[in-house]
Amino acid sequence: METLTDKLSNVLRSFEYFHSEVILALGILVLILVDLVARVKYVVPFFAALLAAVVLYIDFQGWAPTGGSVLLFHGMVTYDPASQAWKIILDLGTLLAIVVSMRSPAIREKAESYPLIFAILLGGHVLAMATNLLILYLSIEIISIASYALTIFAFDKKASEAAVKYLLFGAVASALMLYGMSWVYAFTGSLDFMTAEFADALLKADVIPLSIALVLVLVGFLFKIAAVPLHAWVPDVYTAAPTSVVAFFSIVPKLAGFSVLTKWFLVVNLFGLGPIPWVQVISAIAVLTLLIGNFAALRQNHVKRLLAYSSIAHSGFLLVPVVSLSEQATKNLYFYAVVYIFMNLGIFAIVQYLENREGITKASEYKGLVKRYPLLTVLVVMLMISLAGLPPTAGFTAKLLIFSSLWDAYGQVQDPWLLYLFIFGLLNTVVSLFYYLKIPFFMIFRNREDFQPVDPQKHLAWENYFAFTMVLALVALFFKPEWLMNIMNNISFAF
Amino acid sequence: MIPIEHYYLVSAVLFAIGLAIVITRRNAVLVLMGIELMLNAANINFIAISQHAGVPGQFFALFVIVIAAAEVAVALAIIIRVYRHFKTINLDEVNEIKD
Repeated sequence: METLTDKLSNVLRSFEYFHSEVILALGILVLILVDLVARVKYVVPFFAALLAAVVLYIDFQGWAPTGGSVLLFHGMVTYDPASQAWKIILDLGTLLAIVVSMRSPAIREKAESYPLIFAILLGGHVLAMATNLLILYLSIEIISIASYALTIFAFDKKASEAAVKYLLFGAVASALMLYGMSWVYAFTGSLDFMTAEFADALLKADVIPLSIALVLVLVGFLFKIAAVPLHAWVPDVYTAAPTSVVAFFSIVPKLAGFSVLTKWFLVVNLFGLGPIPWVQVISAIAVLTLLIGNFAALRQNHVKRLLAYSSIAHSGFLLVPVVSLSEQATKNLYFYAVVYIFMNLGIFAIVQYLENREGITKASEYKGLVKRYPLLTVLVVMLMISLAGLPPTAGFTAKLLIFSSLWDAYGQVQDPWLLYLFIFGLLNTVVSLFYYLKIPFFMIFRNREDFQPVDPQKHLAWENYFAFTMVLALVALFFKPEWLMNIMNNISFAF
Repeated sequence: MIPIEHYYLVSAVLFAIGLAIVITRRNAVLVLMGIELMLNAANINFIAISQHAGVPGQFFALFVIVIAAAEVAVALAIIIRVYRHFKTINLDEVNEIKD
């Protein structure tokens, strides 16, 4: 039996691996204080960007790709290279999203939003490291509750409607997940889900109750990553929330969900020995997500709603490496996640710019913009090509990587569902072209009389630089994917 | 000592009632109450299981209570917002966002 002193010293030792989370937690408090005393409008956003950069730096410093895993806080969370990589990805996404939000009046002037954004990041950090059901539930709820509050930050009628729908939907999803967890706890008698005893107990449990419990738990994850059939909140929230919040939502909560889903999937799959065919189930969900995301996007005219369905479809693509179940597939998932951050933030920065400058939100209102914003049009074309997954952008490389690992997985296990997923994935890439190219089509090939070309100085808007950097990164990663892959390849997975 | 199956039954009934309220009621506050019942159903399970598995289940239930309170606080704030804009909290009538 451990003495109290041993336990306390274990907790203290754990903090050595917990620097970035401690700084995040303190940073949230400091941000609230800064917001109270600051008189200048830009102080809080600037401070927020600084905090995000510091956290990113610390996580990068603490990253030992080949290091083993360390149990922290008596196995509540685990520090390992895989979760550290997820944390760096989340930090990068947050930093870039905060940079985008500096140009959003809705966020910049109500600086309470920044502590909420960092609360989501903190939840994401802990979620990526979680190896205990309690911590898992806790961090998912931190992310959810902060998200509900962020949704309403436009403070208009539509935002309140989207927030209440999101809230009730999310609360029900998390209640279902919690009830599923209580059953899982009944089967295993343990909350630490990465241990061998937990897996043994799952193997011994009865099939029907076990399937009910695990499906209920899966509901919570599917809600977080916005996969079908729990995607219904996405279009409304994306339409009504402030654009930079949407940009953030499409990245950090979703990727945090994937960080835990990859772990959880390994546990419940039980190396394929378990009674439930999880690979087939998740493949079917991925196929449905791709189909519904892409086909529903086809008939959207509202740009943010269109991008909402596009983000649902991307969840389907991100599920592909999850079912492939190999180390290479997980590395490809990281690659896809990074590319996805660049693509989404680039396009949302431009959407926000046009919303603020021209007050346009519909795809049909984008017509003839090429005359007024020639450079912006080129950037939109590149970003849309990347989202659809065509060369010469990293969107193509990312899709190529995930589908090649899926093909390898199919070659190994000969599961027909993986083949269906492969075929549907490729077909959906073609379908997605129709709606991704709709906006550039309107911008270039439809005319509009009332536009005067603006003077060239105005092309040097700040969003143009940002989107240009993102496009540059995407093109660079297409020609030199090894820059990123070399980093990923160093990660050792000690499951 | 009450056998553990009884707790499971009570919690399953409570969960089913909560889910039924969530699905059938159109009043936002009543839906919240249904969610609360679902969370408490899980709490009963966690505490009942700690007969065999020790304290972690009881801690879990404590955390769930705290989170439920936080969730309700945010929820009521949002519902007040909705009421200001729509003059109703009937969820069928809160339906403005169109394609």
